[in-house]
Amino acid sequence: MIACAVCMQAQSGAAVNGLHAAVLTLVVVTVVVLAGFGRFVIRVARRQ
Amino acid sequence: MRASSVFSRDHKVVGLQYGITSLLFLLIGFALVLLIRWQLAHVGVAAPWLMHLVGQTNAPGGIMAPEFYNQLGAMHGTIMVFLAVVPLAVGAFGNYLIPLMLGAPDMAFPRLNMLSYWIYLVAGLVMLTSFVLPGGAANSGWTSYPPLSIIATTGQTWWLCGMFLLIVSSLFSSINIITTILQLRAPGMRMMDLPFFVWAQLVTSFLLLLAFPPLQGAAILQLMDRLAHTSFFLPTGLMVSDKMLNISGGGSPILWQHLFWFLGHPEVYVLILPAFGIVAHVISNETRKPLWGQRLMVYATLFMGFMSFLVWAHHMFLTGMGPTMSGFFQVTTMIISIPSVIIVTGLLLSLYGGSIRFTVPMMFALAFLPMFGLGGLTGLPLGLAATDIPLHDTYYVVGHFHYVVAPGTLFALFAGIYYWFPRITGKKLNDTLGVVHFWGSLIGMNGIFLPMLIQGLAGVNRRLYDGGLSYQHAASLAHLNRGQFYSAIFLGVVQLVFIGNFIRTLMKRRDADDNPWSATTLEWSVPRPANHHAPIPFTTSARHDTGVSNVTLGFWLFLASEVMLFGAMFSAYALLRVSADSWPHGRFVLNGSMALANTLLLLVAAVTAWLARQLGPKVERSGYLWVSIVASLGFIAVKVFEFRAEVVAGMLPRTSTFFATYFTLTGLHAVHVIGAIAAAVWILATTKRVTEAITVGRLKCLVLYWGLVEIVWLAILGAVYLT
Repeated sequence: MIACAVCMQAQSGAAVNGLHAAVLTLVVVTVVVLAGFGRFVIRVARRQ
Repeated sequence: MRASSVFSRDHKVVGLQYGITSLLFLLIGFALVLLIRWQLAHVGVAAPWLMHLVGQTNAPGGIMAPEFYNQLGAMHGTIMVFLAVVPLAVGAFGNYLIPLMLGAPDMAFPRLNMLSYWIYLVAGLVMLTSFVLPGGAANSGWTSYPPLSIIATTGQTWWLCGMFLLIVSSLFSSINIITTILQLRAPGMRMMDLPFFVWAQLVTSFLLLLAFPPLQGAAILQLMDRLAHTSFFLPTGLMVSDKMLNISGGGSPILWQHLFWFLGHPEVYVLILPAFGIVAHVISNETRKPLWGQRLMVYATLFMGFMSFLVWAHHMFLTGMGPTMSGFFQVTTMIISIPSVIIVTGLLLSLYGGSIRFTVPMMFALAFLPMFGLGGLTGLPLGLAATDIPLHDTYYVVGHFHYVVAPGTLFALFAGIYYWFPRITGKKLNDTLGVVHFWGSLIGMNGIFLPMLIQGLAGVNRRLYDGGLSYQHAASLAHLNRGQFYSAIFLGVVQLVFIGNFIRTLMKRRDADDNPWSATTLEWSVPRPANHHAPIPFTTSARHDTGVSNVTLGFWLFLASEVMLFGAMFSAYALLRVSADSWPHGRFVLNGSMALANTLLLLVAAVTAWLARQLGPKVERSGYLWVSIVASLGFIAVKVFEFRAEVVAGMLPRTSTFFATYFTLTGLHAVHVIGAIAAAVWILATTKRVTEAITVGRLKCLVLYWGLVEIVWLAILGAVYLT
């Protein structure tokens, strides 16, 4: 892979797809963790 | 001074240690910026004093070397953000005030609290020491973008090690603060009864907990690139000084930006949320009325915390991520401006109808509002790709960011120092000197940062060693640099007034009453000094409204940070794999039978740890724990054989991005298995010295930890070995 901002302005291609996969992975992990915290917060709120 | 007071676990002592240390770092960071501003205002002017001050290497003939200028820029940003402002806002104010505001005896984990401070201090010293290394300190910007940071001098390695330690310290601190707030509230104190300051600290700690681990992962990868010659961040065909680097290539510099900004943007809220909390507290007291819409502000803070994890790529529009991705991040960025507006509006409306007292802390708090507003509003064009692309590499960004952090956050922190100084010392800082400090800081900071916005809109690039003299469009604005330099000097003089006031007040006899601001909040009602040593409640027993003990909650928080760490590593794996021209199939290249053996060993280790947790009699429990330890040691032994065979066969981390990923992921996982072994041995060794409840609590944590280690291994197995 050759890093080139101009090439990467393309809508598709390996570099862009790679970045999409990375972002998606991190977003999914983050949302799952935050959802876990959300569940805990709701539990605390209900017990109060 | 006794060792017990230096290595104190008292939250007030730890808070003060954080406060003094971070103020010293603030001073050092400011000293660096004076040198930067001097250089930009006096390009090519020889100054003998500079050579005497920083040495012949850094300023040959009294003219600052470009390499040294880069070090100043990188270290100024690093010191100010990571070593000064955040530790002051969270470590100092959080540690000192949260237990007092909650009616708690101390932080939930006092020993961890002490440890977090000392690790922070070591991290800071590691970073500062790098100035005396050959090649000097890190010089690739505070963002450490590769490939520059990979080929940089040794100072960058120290920067990474310092950052790694800083993240560990930050994780300890955030686990402590979250657990303290959720578990140690006074009986009957509901979450919505908490002061807004405490809410701001709670959300800030969540951001630190979850946003820092990806940078920790990124630091590991960059250390691998620098020390093991892997190519996580280095693309194929990279030329340096007309020579092609002898590397495998296949990596991506964008990967670093992706992981750095995942921390970097929540970090902005880490900087600003505690400031909101302090300002809200001061405004509420100095208007003699409750905050307007506190509940709404709390919801806005929570929403801001959640959304701050979904905006990071707006720092990367220039990399070209395609319109779909950039569209998503533009929308989330615009959305996150809404809670900021709600909070600032709430603070403004809180002034309405109030009996306002223009005390020194109130003056800083009031100035915070328009200054932060200016910083926030100038950020909107940077959240949209069309306007960000021409502005991104200009001084406009520097001006925007500094308005948020300097007359924004720092003003709030000064407000806090003036406000709580009598609570801490029993002495009130001099008002006249405080007013001089306030007006001088307001004028000085605007004198530095306002011209930056003008320079940026004219297209003057940031990071220019000559202040833009070599560019026609920038040269016409170069005179502004001189005004900024004089403003910086003025600002420095005004800070001397503050330092003088600080020391003078500390040295004089106690003159303030216990509550000079007539405050009604809980932290003022505790007698000063409040050295109560009541036992920490809920260490092993569950609190009724959270349903968990301190240890269990703290451990779950730790696991959440670990999930984020491995999430970032798998995110890196996804980027490298999907964007690779070719990616070997692990099942053909790696040793599948050893992986299968290790899977079975891990399973045995986890199940026996679980059985030890389930069983009551100590003899049986010890037996199961020993089996767990032996199985884990077997896993490590197999891993060592596997690595050795691969290295002998010439499959090294530097061979390809695939092997770099394989060695790093499995190596990091193996470190966690070693952690489990150490934990099991520790539980066995201490079981006779602690109560049954404590041992059971520890075993519960061990089982949870094994759950994480198992899940990560299965993910590695699927992603690396079997595909």
